[in-house]
Amino acid sequence: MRLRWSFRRLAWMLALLAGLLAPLAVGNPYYLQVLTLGLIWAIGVYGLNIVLGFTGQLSLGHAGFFGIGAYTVGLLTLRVGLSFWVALLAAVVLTMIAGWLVGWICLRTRGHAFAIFTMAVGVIINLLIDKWDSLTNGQVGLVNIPAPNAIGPVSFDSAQARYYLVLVFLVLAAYATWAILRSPIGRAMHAVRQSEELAAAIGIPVMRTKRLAFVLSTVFAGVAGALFAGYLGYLGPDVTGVDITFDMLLYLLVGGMGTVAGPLVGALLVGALTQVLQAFQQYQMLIFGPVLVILIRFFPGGLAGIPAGIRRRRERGPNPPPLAAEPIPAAREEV
Amino acid sequence: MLSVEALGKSFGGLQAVQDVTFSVEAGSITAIIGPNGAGKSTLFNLIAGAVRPTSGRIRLNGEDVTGLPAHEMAARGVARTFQSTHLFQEFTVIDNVMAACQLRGGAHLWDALLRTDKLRREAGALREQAMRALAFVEVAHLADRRAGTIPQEAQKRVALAMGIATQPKLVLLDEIAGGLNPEETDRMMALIRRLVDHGMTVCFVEHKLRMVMQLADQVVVIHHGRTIAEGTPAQVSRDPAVIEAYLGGGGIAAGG
Ligand SMILES: Nc1ncnc2c1ncn2[C@@H]1O[C@H](COP(=O)(O)OP(=O)(O)OP(=O)(O)O)[C@@H](O)[C@H]1O
Ligand SMILES: [Mg+2]
Repeated sequence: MRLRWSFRRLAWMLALLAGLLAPLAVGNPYYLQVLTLGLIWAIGVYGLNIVLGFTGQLSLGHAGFFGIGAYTVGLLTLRVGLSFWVALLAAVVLTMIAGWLVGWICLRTRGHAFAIFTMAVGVIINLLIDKWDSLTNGQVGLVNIPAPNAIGPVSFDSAQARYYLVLVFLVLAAYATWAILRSPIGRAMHAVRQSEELAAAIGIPVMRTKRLAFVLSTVFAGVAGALFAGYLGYLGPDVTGVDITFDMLLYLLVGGMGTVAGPLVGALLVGALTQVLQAFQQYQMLIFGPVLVILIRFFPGGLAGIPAGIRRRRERGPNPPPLAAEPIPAAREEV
Repeated sequence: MLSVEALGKSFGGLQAVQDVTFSVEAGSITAIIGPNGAGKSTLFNLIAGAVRPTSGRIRLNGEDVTGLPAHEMAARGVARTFQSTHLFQEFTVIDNVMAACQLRGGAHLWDALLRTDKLRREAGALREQAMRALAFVEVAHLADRRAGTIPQEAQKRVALAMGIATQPKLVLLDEIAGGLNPEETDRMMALIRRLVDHGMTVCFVEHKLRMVMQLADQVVVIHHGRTIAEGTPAQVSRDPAVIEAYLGGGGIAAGG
């Protein structure tokens, strides 16, 4: 038990070290950009993980909230001239409000209906951003979004510096996921996913729990979007497309739902795979498809879910004990 | 402590429960019996707030609690187990019970994110409370097992521990001894008596007549959603309407 725990801690330490050293190892600016964007997507996927992996609600409007965060930063820094940091805060508040309102409406439905409702919300946000030319510049998008303002001596003009900024937020996202998972709130969320009926019976406010998960997920998406705008400096309505939501869903499935490492593993691995397969041009889906099917067939809990899967198989043992094989010694004494 | 007045519930055209009236004294054991499909589980769902009644009132210690959602009923001291025992299968046994302990004093999001002292204290207290509930139902040794992998009798006990962990005044048990053998049933009966000894009031639905006769202070008989008899076990078992219902509606007498 202790051994596994410290192994996990070591893995995280190594990952963090790799994250810190990456810009030094990655000389090519293109690859650094791919890596940074991978981390940004991972932050968004951490959000999806809370609403889907923890509470089991398939939200398909995630890219919409990513877009709200991104456009809030883009517009407030470009049009109003606010500092990136103020705009980031505004993005958090705005996605929180939007998430609360959308959650309030959509969470009245369950299962497929919820998925379709949230997808519709995503489409509406996409259309608003795409068609509201006077505000968002429509198809043209926003360009020359200023880089995040310097904090004291730390400037974010270089891509490396912005990478580290993204890394900080990624660490925060992973930490928040871990902290929530281990807290009573995380337990309540996982309880709701397994049985709403039982959760309610033991006093868990199901609706409030789901709404909290939903709002948290939109805030994560909003922060990821805000970083995206601040990192790249340009932005188009395509970032709010449903296909972006499905990309994030894919990262989560491959990485492992409900785990702390899953979103990061999934976003980086699928991102890397996509890069590698670009050499195959139009045939890349031919390879990508089967790889995904195999991954999901053999690792239904995702890559980060493998240790838990092994543990569970070991618990069951080769032949499961028959029902009531276990004596209840204390009970025998009592009666 | 509990009073149910002219309670009714219809699912579309089907009157699952209609005009049911009875009351439960604090510290007593009430058995609710009736043929299959009589509306017993629906009645429990109504009292526990899982299903909203279409007519009638529910009062708990004088307070009108009609139509309150399940988690608010749990907060007011109503615990229940389900007919088809279910636990959070992916959780360990102790996590199942800790989830129920959380009802009384839980930490907030900030405590979770900042990992405050309050969170730590709370976590220790939750675990301790959960272990106490597990010890009460005598399955403390299974605390770290995954809930889906423990034997059926133990699962029923864990379900009961979850109810106890919410610190209830009223406990509703829907066929908690269903599927248990006579020996296991005896142990469950002893456990139910201990709930009462610890100040809880119990209502249970059961097909096992032996349990009804030996445990209940009061029996409420339901047939086609209506109360057809009410009284002590001895009174009810002599009641012609009850005998009629059971002869007509498929027996319970064989059970237990
Ligand atoms: N959610 C529901 N929707 C529609 N009908 C329902 C629903 N729940 C129960 N019923 C119906 O209400 C009636 C009473 O069901 P209930 O489960 O309360 O019976 P019961 O007395 O608990 O039976 P059993 O002894 O078999 O457990 C049945 O006819 C059942 O089909
Ligand atoms: Mg029933």
